[in-house]
Amino acid sequence: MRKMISAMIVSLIATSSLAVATTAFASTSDSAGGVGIQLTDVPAAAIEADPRAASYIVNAVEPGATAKSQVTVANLSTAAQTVYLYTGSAAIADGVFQGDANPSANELTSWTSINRSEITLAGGEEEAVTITIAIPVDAAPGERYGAVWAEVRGEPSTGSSVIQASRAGIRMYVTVGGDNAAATDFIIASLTPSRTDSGLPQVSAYVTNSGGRAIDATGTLMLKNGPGGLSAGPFTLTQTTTIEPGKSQNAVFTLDRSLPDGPWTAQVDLVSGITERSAESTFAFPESVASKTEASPILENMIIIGFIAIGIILLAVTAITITRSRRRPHHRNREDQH
Amino acid sequence: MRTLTRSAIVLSAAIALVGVSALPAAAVDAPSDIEVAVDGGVLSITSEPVVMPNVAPGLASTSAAFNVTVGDLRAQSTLGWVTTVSMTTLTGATPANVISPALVTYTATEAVTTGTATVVETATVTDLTAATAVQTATAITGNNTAAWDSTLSVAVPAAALTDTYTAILTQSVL
Repeated sequence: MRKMISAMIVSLIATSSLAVATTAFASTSDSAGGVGIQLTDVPAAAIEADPRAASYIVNAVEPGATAKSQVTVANLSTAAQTVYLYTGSAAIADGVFQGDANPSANELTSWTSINRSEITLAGGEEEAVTITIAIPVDAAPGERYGAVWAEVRGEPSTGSSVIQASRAGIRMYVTVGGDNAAATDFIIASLTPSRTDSGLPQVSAYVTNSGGRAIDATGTLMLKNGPGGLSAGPFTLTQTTTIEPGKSQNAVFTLDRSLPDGPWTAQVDLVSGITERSAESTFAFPESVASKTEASPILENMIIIGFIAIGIILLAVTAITITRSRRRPHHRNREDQH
Repeated sequence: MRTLTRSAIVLSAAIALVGVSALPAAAVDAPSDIEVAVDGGVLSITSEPVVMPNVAPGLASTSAAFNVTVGDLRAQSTLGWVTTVSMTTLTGATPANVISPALVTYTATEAVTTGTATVVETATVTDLTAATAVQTATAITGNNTAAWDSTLSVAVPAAALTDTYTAILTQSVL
């Protein structure tokens, strides 16, 4: 008998706790434009392994394997609404798991698909959708972050120029296992100006492949804040620079001879696949042979001016001498007359 | 024996009423070895519409306060939630006319909460280009809700041209 009472108490507690949930649910549904999302049908073993799995998609998946999750979306409004479903990238920054503004993508979102992209739900209705995460065979090990979003959009109301989108999301923490090579990564250690033997200006980006896969770097160089506020570029890397893991190589931009020496602020953006890195540096190109010849006309002019000046002086001196020599006989004549 | 059977019937009826699935998330050890699961609900967000008044260039268009409510019915402990806000570029009917979301500010009041949660607001977000946190909930136990009033303000540049500008304001909970 005592057993029965305790069992009944337990069931009462369960019922009352759900009643609270239902009331709160109803109170939110009074307002317009609400959307809710929930992870459903999570295996008990997954929750035992990591309690977060009850609310987040927490998965460890081997390359080549597929993981499925079920998510239920709810229209909290009393009117029918269209719920848009999509994935987005997310990152952990300053101790906060934050989803990026739509649209956003990363490796994980490219591996994740949802069986519905939009559902029209009647007021208070909910529906389950399936999330499939298919890890490619060559995926690099490591944890990736993302989110599954359910979004509703308000109708543009009269006089309003702002359309409101409200979205609720499920976090995704997906760890890729296996022994695949590390992901693509590289750093641009430095930017160095130089000149070719023929005097063409060059910028060398010293690239170190810090990842586990060979990179094929392509990219652009922009020169800013040059003499007189000049900007130049973007100059494209003419040859793809391929670098093995752990090795370093210069990616060289060869520029036009007529480019002023600087100083310039150079920005290099390199990309290999979907991995992008940039570097910025301020420098001046070494003085070129061309710029030396540029200076020589002034020197030549100065020499010419000098010669002309000397010529004028010589002429003046000669003229004076002649005048004097002509005057002298007169004097002499006068003297003779006296 | 009959009492036991009856208790089992009562229990199963209660479970059916509750609509509990086979999730032993918060298993309670009943003496008769019966487990009762408490199922989690949705994480939701609801917002009132925002209306921006028309203004002359050089002035700020500030909306009336609109209510935003987050409902966390996941019935979990320790998991928090973060509400972020972002906005697209305001674009005129003439697509060349644009106002940057960097000129938009979003102001949220302190959240009124129910349940157990510590919700901290970022008083004012001054650039809506990237998703930025406005309310962060931590120290959660069980179901909780938070409601606050927000205002949106667009500092229309003095050089802006006459047009009707539209943008999408996204409020997210994750």
